[in-house]
Amino acid sequence: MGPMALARRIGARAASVLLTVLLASVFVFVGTELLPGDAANAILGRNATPQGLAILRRELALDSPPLQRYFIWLGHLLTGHLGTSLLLKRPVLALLGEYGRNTAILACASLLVGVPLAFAVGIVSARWRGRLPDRIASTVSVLLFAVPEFLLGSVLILIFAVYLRIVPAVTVTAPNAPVGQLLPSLWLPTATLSLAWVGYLGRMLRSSLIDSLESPWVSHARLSGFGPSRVLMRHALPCALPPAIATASLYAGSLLGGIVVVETVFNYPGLGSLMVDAVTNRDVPVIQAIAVLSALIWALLALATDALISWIDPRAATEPR
Amino acid sequence: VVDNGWSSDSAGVTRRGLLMGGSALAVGLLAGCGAASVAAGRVRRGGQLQVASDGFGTTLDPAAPAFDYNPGPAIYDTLVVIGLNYEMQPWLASDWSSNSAATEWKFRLRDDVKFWDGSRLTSRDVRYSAQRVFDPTLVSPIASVLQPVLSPSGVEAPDPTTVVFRLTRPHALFPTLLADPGMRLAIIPEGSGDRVANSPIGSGPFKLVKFDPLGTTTLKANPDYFLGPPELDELLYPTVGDPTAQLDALIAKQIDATPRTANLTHGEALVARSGGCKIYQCRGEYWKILAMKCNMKPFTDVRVRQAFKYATDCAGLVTRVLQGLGRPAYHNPVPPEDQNAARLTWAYDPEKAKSLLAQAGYRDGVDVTLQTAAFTPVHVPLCEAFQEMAAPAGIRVTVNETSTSTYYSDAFVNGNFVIDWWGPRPSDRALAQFFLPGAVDNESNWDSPAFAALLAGARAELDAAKRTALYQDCQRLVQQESGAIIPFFEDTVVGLRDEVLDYGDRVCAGQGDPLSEPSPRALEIAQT
Repeated sequence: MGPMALARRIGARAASVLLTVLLASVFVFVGTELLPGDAANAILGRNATPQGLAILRRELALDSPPLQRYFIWLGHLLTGHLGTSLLLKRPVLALLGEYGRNTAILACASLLVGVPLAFAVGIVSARWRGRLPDRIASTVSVLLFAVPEFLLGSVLILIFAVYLRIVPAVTVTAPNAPVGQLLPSLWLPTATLSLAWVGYLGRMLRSSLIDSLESPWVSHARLSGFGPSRVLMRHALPCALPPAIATASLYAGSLLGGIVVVETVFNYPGLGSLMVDAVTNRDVPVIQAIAVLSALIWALLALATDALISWIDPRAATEPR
Repeated sequence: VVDNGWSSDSAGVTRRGLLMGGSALAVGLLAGCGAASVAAGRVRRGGQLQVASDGFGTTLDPAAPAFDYNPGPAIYDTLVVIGLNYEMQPWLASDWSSNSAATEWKFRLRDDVKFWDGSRLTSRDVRYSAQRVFDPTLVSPIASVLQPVLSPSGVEAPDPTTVVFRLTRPHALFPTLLADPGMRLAIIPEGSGDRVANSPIGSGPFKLVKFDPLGTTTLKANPDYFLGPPELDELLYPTVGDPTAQLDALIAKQIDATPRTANLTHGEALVARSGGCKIYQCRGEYWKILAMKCNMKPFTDVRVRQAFKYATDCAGLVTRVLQGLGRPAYHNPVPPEDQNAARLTWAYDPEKAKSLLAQAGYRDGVDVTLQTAAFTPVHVPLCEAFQEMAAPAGIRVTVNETSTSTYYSDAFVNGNFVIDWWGPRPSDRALAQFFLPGAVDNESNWDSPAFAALLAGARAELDAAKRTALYQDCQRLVQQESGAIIPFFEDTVVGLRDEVLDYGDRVCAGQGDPLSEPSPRALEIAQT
């Protein structure tokens, strides 16, 4: 691939990222418009009177037409102004910073625990395929993946927080607390988020490892006299990586969704719980900002995955003609 | 989240009588009351108490609809408070009196009350606080309660310790409107309205250190509190929104108490107990209403409304929906302990309901949709139980459960049969707020000039016995004709760490302390 082609490719990908984010913003805006009630309704609840609603709508600038509000918001977004939370009266950017940091910590912790563990499970299962380690890994994986996150979370709380008392059950730390204070609260949500995926990712890696173990070049390596472990790690694993990386990136993406449930169960002050509150309160600037941020993360994740796979397996980078 | 039933003014927390003892944690007592009730030697001073906040409020402005009532009573004070049997008790005001026509009320203030900034409470602060709630941009829920008898210009401060309320109409029980368990008429220093939302100056037993509605709101003891310093050093309100997370946090000993606004269910109480915690439980005060909108078919006919009430087995619902943790209300929101309570009953009689429906033209029964949302674990089961109980009377109910986030803006507004929930109120307040024509919280849209006249008469009656009789007539009329199905009063059920002693009186009806006999079933929970 020449430099021009590379530049074009990068440009096209960047444009698709932008388009994704823009589309997401439109969908979210339309979605929040379609929901019955607005922030004024949410704030006043059953105290709503027509006069009260009118006053509050004016105060929250909800009284202009939707299209106008969308473009004002888009203009602000492009200039880096995410607005102010209708309910909390704080800049959305600051909220995203605080809560985003916490979610990033949780997501990273979960990936750091989950991915190596999954690789270990996959490799062990493939190495001793059909034997006891494989059967145990397979049963446990299916079980963990089948259990919903809120249930897994509750079971972990009961065992580790209530009976063993070695970790806190829920987070009672302020969203902007120093990271050090947050760490003890990270164990259970991290475990909940990673365990479910360890099984799935491990199974995925196992089957692609088995595929590649049966391929001619691995047979060749084996016939050349290399030991089974060396064949597995040096010859079979690199070929099995791309599908596993694609799955791992799905995992990373799904954290965005799974985190909503897990953050609620553990009262963890992250983007997921902020989003739940914002939706409940029709706090549109916050909803918009989180949605755009999520879309951006998804798109960048996809981009990074492609790049990584191209790097490992140059065939994937070839442009179709 | 704000769209909850408690936000208006039903809350009030752990104001006095809140102790920690036992072996582990330090102990405290909020100002004002009875260390005597705690076995000597078990109590230690100081320490902190963590009470989970349900995370519903986002401002500390007591006039704002989104007021965070969780720490509210620790921060603010009101002129008068509601006593054990709904009588008015002095608080910031030491005494009060009215003219013979009950149109002019004079309150004398204590002279030893200081705000946190050291300034002394004066009548100007009271005037400012009372006038402020009328500001339409604040959309204060208390304004509509005061408006029928008071206008902002009627509040006067003739001297530093006297406040005069000149009413537009006579009201013999006017002080009950000023005592609000939700601290809606909290007294703040004159001119402090601009900062009250985030950094208020209160006079309460705890000073605000940091307000963080999404994290932990922190309060520290106010050594100059007019009733003496609290014995706790710190009072924390960590926000734990999810009820399951609250229970998890309690049994893992991360918090000392669950929010009193989120009653534990019978099942949750058992879980808490088996997790080594104890249950604080007191007499039923909170109620749910199934509002039949009188301006919408089929409820325009009073016979239909009566039929629906005869189709409601109030006592049965207490057993079935509350597992005994409550008592029947018989479609009357006035608690039996109130001086003006009529203590009415109402029979469950599906046959009578059927014949009333037939008289109203519904010979083949009637179809209705009951709107609900799971604000508490009781909301939906109550509707489903009603659905079953009403069936023999030929009332075919469809229960429509919608999301809590849209309930009040959609189903509640547009439905003709809706559920809602409220906290305890003294007789006059309960009757006026929910049944006067045009009142914001007249949820059944019952437009009864006869009731309005009767209530006005009661308010103007200066003879206590005659007044009580008139208030009782009001309750009979409400029970007979209004669109309010009010099946029961629910007990307050709070989970506490075993070390917390004497969570006591204030947990109950906001500032009032209507502690009495727990229901038999509750005793069972407490003892098993």
